[in-house]
Amino acid sequence: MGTIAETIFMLAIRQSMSIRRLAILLLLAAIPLTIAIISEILGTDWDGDVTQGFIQGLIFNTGLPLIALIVAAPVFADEIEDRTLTNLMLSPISRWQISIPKMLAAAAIVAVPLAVSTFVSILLVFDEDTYSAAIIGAFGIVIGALAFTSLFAFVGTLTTRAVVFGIVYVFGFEALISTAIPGLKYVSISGNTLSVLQELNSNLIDAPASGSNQLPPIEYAIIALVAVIIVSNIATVWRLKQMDVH
Amino acid sequence: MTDIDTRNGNDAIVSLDSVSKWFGNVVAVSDITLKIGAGITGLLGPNGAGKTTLLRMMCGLYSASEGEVQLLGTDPRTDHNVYKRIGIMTENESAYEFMTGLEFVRLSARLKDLRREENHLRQAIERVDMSFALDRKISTYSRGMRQRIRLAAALVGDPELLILDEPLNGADPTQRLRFQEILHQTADEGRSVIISSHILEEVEEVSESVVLVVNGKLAAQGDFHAIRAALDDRPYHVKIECSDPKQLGGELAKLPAVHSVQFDPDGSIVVLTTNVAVLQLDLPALAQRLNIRLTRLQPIDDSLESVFSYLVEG
Repeated sequence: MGTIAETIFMLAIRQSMSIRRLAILLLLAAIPLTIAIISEILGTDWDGDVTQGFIQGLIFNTGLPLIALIVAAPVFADEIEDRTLTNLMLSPISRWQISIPKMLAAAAIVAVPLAVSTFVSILLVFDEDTYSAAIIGAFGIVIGALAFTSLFAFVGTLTTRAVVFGIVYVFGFEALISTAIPGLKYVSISGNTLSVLQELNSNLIDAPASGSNQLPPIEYAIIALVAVIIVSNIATVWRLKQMDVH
Repeated sequence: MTDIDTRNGNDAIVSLDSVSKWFGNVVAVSDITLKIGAGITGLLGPNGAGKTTLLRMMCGLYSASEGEVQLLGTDPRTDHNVYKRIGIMTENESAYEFMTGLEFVRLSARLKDLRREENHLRQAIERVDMSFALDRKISTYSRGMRQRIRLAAALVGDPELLILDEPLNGADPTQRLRFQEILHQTADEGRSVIISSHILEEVEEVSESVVLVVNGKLAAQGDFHAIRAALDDRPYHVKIECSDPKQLGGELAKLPAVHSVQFDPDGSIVVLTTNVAVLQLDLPALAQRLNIRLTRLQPIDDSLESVFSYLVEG
């Protein structure tokens, strides 16, 4: 990473590290781990459905997009609102040199605590092939974090109310509608992320072959996730080029 | 990119061709064509005249709704390399509050990818006299200190052009003098400065060339002293309060510099003069001769807005 990209990456990290935001982030990331630890202490025996609900519902359909929203939506929205974006926009650098490091910084902040939490949680609650499943679970967090932060960072360039839009999207679509209506997993970032994990470890993600929880095929899921990441980042660069910076 | 050498004084550093900008139904800048050459240029206009919009279009922060903007011979919206040669200080206090002053100026140096970064930092910071507060967070700075550290960030790398939007806002008299010194030093080094202000005297102190903007339109452009002379010759209303308005009013009407005299219901006199400099000399002498005590003398249309209206209306 070059000096300018590194500078903007570190700037974005510092901007995201407000005490309040950090506290919320760590609290949310710790929820799966806390549940897993309590369950381990109590010696609870998790059946398949509960484990799937824990991994799919709690971590990938709700926790990951929510944390990504809290971290990524303000990456540009806050700079626009605070009028600090001028410092970057009046620099002799391409717009992608601004957007990519910021997105990567947001993804790193999302992925590190949640991947650790997911890794340890799976170690505690999973019975078969535990170590491999934990690594794959953490890997899924990284992929999902990249896709979600790319999308939410772009939305943050469109409106300073990106968090409101995101909450509706996370709870309305990712956590609820996409799991209730057959076929909508195809347009869900969580659904496509889970499809990749299922391909890597079918014990970790055990989705039905039909119905509302049917996951998209792996080929489709990879293309969809790559498309979300690329299109969102291109859209962010386009938006930065077009916008009037106040 | 067409390179413009701002130090030879011949080329336009900023060129606007039929530029307009509107936000929804509001026209902020309307059909402005102008060229700004090297040296210090003041962009003058009342609040809401469109100065900031114009400067933001010059800098590339706003796109022009119509027309073409060239900065140092290139379009700043597409050629971001031009920012390597420019230092810009926007109107709003757009500094990162969580950084120290040193970190903020260092950020500017890094974004410009400057070599020998520390030398540039030290020079810029010393220039604005902020060495004493370098390690303090910007959130603890006074408004004047914020302006100075932002100026240091704009100065870092010795840009050949400085664009400053209302830099003296919030500055105390000492800071104003220091700002003016820095601007003169910058010009003496052969660099160019574009500075905006809504205060006539502020611009007069630093620049010889001015661009006057009123209601989003170009009202006048050229040598400051020529424009100032035109202002001095304009009709001018002065309100006078004295111990004997009737007698003084009658005598004032006979003076060649006085165009008309009106008596206000509050007992004051309003004089319309076409030569305020002569009136300034004649009035005290007349009052002394008539043994009349002058209690108040108030120019009632000396506001920048009235000056601009006069210029715009011809």
